[in-house]
Amino acid sequence: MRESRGYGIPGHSCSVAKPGVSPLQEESFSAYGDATRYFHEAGRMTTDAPGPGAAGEQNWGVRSASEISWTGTLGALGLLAKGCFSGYILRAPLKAVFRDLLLPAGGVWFFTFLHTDATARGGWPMLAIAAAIWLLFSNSVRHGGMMLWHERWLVRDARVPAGLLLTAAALVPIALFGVHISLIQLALRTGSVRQDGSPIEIVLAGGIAAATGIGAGILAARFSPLRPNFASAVPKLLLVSLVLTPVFYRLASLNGLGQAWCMANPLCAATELARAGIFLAEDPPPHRAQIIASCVSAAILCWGLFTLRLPATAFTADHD
Amino acid sequence: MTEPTLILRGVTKQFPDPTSRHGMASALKDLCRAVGLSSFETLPTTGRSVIRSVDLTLSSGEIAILLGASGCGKTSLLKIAAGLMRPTAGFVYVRGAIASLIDPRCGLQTTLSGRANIILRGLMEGLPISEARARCKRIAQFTELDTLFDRPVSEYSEGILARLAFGGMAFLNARVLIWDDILEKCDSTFRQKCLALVPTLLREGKTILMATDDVGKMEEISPRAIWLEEGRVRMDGASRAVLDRYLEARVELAPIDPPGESTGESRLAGVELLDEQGKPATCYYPGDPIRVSIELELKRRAELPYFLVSIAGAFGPIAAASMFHDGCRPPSIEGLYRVECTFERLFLAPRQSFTVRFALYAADGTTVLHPKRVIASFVTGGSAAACGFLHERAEGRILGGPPVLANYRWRMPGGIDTAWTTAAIAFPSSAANARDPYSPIGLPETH
Repeated sequence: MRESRGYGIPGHSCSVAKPGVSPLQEESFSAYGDATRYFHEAGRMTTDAPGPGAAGEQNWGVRSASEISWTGTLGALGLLAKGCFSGYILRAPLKAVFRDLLLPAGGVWFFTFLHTDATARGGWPMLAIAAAIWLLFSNSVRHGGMMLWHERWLVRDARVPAGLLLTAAALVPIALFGVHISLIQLALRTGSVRQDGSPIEIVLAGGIAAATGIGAGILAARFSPLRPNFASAVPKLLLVSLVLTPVFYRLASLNGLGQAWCMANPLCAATELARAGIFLAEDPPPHRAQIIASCVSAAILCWGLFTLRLPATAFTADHD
Repeated sequence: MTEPTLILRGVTKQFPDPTSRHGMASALKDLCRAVGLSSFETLPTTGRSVIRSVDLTLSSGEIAILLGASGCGKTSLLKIAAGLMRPTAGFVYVRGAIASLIDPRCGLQTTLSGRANIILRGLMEGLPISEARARCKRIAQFTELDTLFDRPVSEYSEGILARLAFGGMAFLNARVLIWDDILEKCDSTFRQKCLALVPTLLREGKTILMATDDVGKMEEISPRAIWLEEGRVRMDGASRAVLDRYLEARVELAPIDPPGESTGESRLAGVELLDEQGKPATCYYPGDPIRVSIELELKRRAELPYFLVSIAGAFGPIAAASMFHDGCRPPSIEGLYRVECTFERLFLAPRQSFTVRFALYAADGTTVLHPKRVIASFVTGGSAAACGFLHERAEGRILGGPPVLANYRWRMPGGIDTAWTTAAIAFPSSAANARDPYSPIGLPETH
């Protein structure tokens, strides 16, 4: 197997022999012919660079040029997923149980016990499903997108693509959401309350929350190297998002302002959609709000994924 | 002819001016860059240059060692070659998978075990999983990690982490190895084992670019050396020739503080290294007296201060003239004050770098009147042979050996009884061996 790669910026002193190709490039290409598969100019792929792998590689964080088989990629994904789960659950299972099961369950029980009209209209399932959606968003930020920051030393090595780590990391919040939903379903089945909503709405709501969370997490991870205190501020920002999301209150209680907020915050539509997925009697958010929320969450995710193709943020500082 | 595997052309690196990176505007600019709202192409054109137009080509099975003073850009160049740092200008071409040992944390997932990380690296370098597992056994054997190999990497100490990182670099599929000699500091025993592996790695066709401060073994490890100075390639050639130039006997004085620009209590107004006759020294040989003359300008009068002058080698201080020890202190100093300190009969090893440091403290012993700083440096002259060390490896090994020569004697069964004394030293300017036995200077008690 022959593989090769190049990266750098042709020096300012290089005179251009033909449009877009410096003498240096020509020298490299002539010296190595078809072996030149990765060539970067000023942080972007030069359009004149030949080679089969040219168009697909635009990142400064130079990726492994090895041709990795599907089995190899799946094996690596499995190992990365194991690492992500180990870091979050397996190494401290009691802490994970407390943080992801007991604490949310206690919170739901407490607010249901208060039984005010604003917090628990419709009973505990309404609160629980909304909390599960917000937790999915929160976990997607902290353990999904932000994994790029937590495992920055892994990603700094060009061999491990950030996308692969991100895929593995995204499995953690999704798995936790599955556990939360299963527990809610189990509680509904054992209790007197029956679910009559559509699970598709819950899946759609989960998709909106996960996409928003992962996208926001990637952006937060990109910014963290520049302002190290930012990473420690993320949990606080997430708590703010809890207040701004109708978990402990209903969107309807906000009247006109609530409707406007629903348009801006995709999590609002997601929580209301998930509530409608439990009980048919619950009014789902307007279709327009659902579409806007889906588009906004997709845009945030795409924005985050787009930044993966940019130079690593650490390069802007290069002091570490 | 072997094929080139690592090519650097016109590689330049400038760090942005740190003063330009403060304030809200800079933070917003960074934010926009990070989240893709601003272009990354605006690389710094002003600031501190650490690498200046470096050209370098290495072929398969070739090794080159970077050497140079601390801060000359060795690690930055390695980072650029390894793809861990973006050059401001220039081009890096790598044929084949590349692996680096610059920061041992790079490429490791902290929650996975050492074994899982090695398998992950192997997979990412294109090895089948069965082969990656097989290499794990070899790495475990070489690195002697034992049970730690199956523990999470987050539990590893720095030395263990470096062992794992070296194993991952050397025994997987990488063809180009970028190796900063971090093992020298964190695990010197294991380092010997790694250095012994170098010929095997080269026979396997790997290319090695290495940076080290251990000039003693350089010639044995690598036939080629590259001397970096202030980010530029000062010399690239055979190790012996480069070392001869790099370790040429010399004396260099640190720049003095310009008048009126001192921020502390005193200003370094002048510094000189003198020879035995009191003239500015151009070279010191083992046993030569080292006279340090310092001129200070004090902002205010200081009573009973403490002067401290020390000489340090590559491994740290080796001798100090300290008023904390001898109690010899001037009653008071003020204005322009000149002090001279002479180190007698200091048998410094030939062809080694030394620095002279100076500090001044107030009467309480803690208040700093002049911060500790390097005021001069020198490379000792001579050779191992001129010291009476005639073994074929002596010339190389004395470079990275202990900085001070002392009399010693070997006694072994079979009647072997040999000794080396400083009397064996024969240098033109060194009269140490002919000098009368040294009589201590009586230090006057001033208070």
